Amino acid sequence: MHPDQRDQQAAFQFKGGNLTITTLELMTADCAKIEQELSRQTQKAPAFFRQTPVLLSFDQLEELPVALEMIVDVCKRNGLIPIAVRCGQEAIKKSAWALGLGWFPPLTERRLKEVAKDKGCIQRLPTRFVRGTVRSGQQIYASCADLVILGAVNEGAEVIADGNVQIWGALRGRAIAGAQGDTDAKVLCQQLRAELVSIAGVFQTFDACEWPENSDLPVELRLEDQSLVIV
Amino acid sequence: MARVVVVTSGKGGVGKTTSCASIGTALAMQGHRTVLIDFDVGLRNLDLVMGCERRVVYDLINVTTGEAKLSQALIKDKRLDGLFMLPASQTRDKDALTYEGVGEVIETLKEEFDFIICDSPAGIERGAVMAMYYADEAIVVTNPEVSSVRDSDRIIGLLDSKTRKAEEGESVRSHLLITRYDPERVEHADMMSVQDIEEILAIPVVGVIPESPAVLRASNQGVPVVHDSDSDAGQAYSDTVARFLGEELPMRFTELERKGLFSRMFGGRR
Repeated sequence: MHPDQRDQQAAFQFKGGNLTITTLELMTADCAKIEQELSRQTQKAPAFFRQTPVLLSFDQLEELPVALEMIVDVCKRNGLIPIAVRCGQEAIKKSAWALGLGWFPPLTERRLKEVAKDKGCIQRLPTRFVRGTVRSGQQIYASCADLVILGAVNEGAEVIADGNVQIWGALRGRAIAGAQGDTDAKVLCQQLRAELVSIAGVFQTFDACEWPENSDLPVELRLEDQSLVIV
Repeated sequence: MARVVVVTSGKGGVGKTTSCASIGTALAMQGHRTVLIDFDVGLRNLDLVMGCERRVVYDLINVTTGEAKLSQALIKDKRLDGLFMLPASQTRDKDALTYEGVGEVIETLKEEFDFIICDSPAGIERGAVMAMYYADEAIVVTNPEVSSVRDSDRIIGLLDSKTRKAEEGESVRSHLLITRYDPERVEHADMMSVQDIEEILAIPVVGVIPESPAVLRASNQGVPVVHDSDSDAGQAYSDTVARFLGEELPMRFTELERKGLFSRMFGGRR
């Protein structure tokens, strides 16, 4: 290889990707209990606990305070390597960072509501209106507002709102409502022929057989218990 | 006032060049001074369909770069007065065109002609955007199949945003031309119907050209199919141009012809 060429080569590449990781879902903050349970499990399956990286999740945990440093020590003593925490509590997040651990936002619906409140998106700006057909390749976003399309949304088009999305025509493309996490957001359309609908991050793709039969009544999609329902 | 019309589609092979040749020819037949510009630089075809490939000396790029005068590059049609074409360069690529150069050529042509028909290359890149940029009107060519319809939808979106008209806050008047239509296959639900396509693309239909052996025959002979007034496709193109000029005509060749007892007994195609 020519030396100039070597200089031009990047030192590294950032790559996104999914990988499966063991999560330790904590039901208690009591270190003694955790230690007891862990050592019992270690004896059952020692191979599993040999230097296994784990994510400490505090999603299910209501009680505070949490002595994160002690929990991390307990894990290490039992062969686990905590790499990050997942929690909504600000205090745990701070101590995780102090310990050099990563932080992930929690998964619960409660947390999604908190995010929506944080961004002030409950207080809506005036509705954005779009006249005419939204065509393949076009993307329309209504920030902190409802979005009304006076026409159809064609295949390959994408309409996004932090509030509700209302389509006075056929929805053939993608509609995303509650883009900042508002779980009360809805998607309304005259005819559902969508590729994808998402509300507050919960999305569903559609095959032709999943569309409701042709009818004169408009279709409403909303979120119920973390899943999309078609009304 | 000259009208600049782009014939475009997004998808390749749907019949842009064929349609361009027949529409231009039909306009000239009606006495309108018409010029066809081939924007498909590097994949020059319009001259073949028009049957004037042996007379190409200079091309659009020679004119925009000042190597040739417009009058030297324009090729007069051998059959009709008032019909000219400006060929594309076969040896250059699409980046050789500039907006300024094309704009100047079109402004000059506007003084002499009633209609300037721009034959767009396929795709949504620079070449296609260049062909549509100066258009007042568009004829969007679509085949009755989902991928072609989706690409046309994308192109109509670009016509609404990437043209000079759109930049000035106006809109390009778009017409839908459906080609290679086969009513029998529509009946069997193998093909999208005119209504289906019109509903999705939401622009008015200016014509429906039936699938016809006359089209390929005409292209290979270098005679636009509209000259073949006995053929269904030729008649459909004549109708299309009449509608484009404002006449109201019913669509033909969109319904399945019920075969009579005799044709069923004595052969004929199924």
